[in-house]
Amino acid sequence: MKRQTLNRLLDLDRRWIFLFVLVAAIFARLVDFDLPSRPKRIVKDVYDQIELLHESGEVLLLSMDYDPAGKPELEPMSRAVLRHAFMRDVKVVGMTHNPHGQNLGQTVLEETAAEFGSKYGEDYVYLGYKAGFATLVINMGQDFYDAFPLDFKGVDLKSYPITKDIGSLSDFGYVFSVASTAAWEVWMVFGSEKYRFKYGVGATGVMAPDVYPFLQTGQIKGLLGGLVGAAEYETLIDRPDRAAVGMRPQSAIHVLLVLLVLFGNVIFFLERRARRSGRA
Amino acid sequence: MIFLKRQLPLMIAFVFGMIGIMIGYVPHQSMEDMYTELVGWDRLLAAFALLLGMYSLLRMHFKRIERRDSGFGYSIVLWTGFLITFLVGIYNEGDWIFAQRASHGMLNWIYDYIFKPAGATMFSVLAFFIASAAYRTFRARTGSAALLLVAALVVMVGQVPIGDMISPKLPELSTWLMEIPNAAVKRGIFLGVALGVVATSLRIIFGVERAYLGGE
Repeated sequence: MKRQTLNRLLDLDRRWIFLFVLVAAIFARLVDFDLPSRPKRIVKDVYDQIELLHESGEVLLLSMDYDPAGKPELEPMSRAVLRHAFMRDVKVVGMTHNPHGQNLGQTVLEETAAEFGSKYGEDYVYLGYKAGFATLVINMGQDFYDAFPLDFKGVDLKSYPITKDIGSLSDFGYVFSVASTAAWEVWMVFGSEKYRFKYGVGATGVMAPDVYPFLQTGQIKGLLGGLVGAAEYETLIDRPDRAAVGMRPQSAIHVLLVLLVLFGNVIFFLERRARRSGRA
Repeated sequence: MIFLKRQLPLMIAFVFGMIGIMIGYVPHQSMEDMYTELVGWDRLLAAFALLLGMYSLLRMHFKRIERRDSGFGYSIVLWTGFLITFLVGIYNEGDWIFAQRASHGMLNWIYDYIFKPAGATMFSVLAFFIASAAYRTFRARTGSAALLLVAALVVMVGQVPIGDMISPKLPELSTWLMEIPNAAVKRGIFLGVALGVVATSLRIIFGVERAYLGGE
C-alpha cells in the first residue's frame, strides 16, 4: 500500500467513524439476536442485599443521584433494583442529590410501583431533592427527621408507616446510590463509614473502576457498573428490559471500537515501516 | 475594606478549619453538638451557593450579550431559556410559588421534552467522539502503550455479553484486570489525592494558600 494511502487512512475523516458507529448501533437495535448475560459476583451482592431486606423487613434507601444526561445508562439500574424490591415486598425510600434528578426519581418510582400495585406511603416514599450533598448525608445520619421532616409532597414523614421509625441512616437495611457524580463517594465517606449502614453503588461505566478498591475492603457491598450491570441485574430478577435490549448496540459498538483500534494500529505499523524503508 | 476582603475571610477559614479538625479528634459531646450546628449552617450556605452560582452564570452571559462577544447568540438562548423556565416555575400552573409544585403542566413539559432529551443527547454523542478519539490516539507506540492497549481491548470486549460468547475466559480476564491491577492503581491514586487534600486544607487554614480570596 502506498504511503499516501496509509496516511489518508490514519487521518480518516471522523465523519466516517461517526457513520460506522451509527450504522452499528442501528443494525444491532433492528436485528434481533440473543446475548446471554452472566451476572458478576458484585452484581449478585446487590441482589443478595435486597433479598436480606425481604427477610429482615428493613427499609431500602435508594438515592437516584443522576440527571437526564445519565438517565439512559443509570435509570435501568434504578428500575431493576426497584422491581426487585417491590417484587419482594421490600419498603423503599427514594431521594436524589441531584437538583435535576427530582422528576426522574419520582417517575421511575411511580412507574415501578404501579407495576406491582405498591402504594405511596405504605410501600414507598419519595423525599425528592435537598441541597447540602455531604452535609445532607451527615445530617441524615445525625437526625433523619431533622434533615427530611417532609416528603416531596410536603407531607410529614412521621405520618407514614415506612418512615415514622427511622431516626438515622443506620436504621436503613441497605442504602443504594445510583450515581453519575461523586455522590457515591459522599455516601461512603460521610455516610456508611460514620453511621455504619450497608451500602451499595450503581455507577456509570466510566466511574465503575473507581469503586473497585472499596469492594475489596467491604466498604461497598455490591456494584452495578454501567448498562451491563443493569442488564445483569435484569437477568437475576428474570425481567429483561431496556438494559438487556441495550446490550445489543453496546456490544456491537464495543466490537466496532476494537476493530477500529486494531485497524488503526495495523495502518500505523505499515506506515512506519514504509517511512523507514523510504528513508533507507 | 482590606479587612473585609482579606483578613476576615482568613480568620473565618482559620477558626472554622481548626474547629473542623477538633471535631474529628476530640471525643466530647460539645464537639458533637457543634458538629450538628455547623452541618445545619453548611446546608444553608449550600442553598445560597446555588443562588450565587445562578447569579454568576447569568451575569457572565449578560456581559457577553452586552459586548456582542463571539457566540453571544448562545447567551441569548441561555437567558431566554432561563426566563421562560423561571416564569413558568413561579406561575406554577396558577398556584404560584406558595403552593406545592404542580405535578403536570408547562414546567414538567419543559423538563420532559427539552431538558431530558437534550441531556441524553449530550451523553450519547460521547460514543461517537470516543470512537473517533480511540481510532486516532490508541496506538502501540511503545511497550507500555501496547500493554495498555491490550488491557483496554480485553476490558472493552470482556465487559459486554458478546465477550462471553467469544470466550468465557474474556470476562474472567476482564474482571481480574478490574479487581487487581485497576484496584491497586486506583488505591494508590486515592491515597495520593487524600494526602494532597490534607496538605491543601492545611495551607488554606493557615493562610498560606489564598487563591480562593480572588483578586483585589
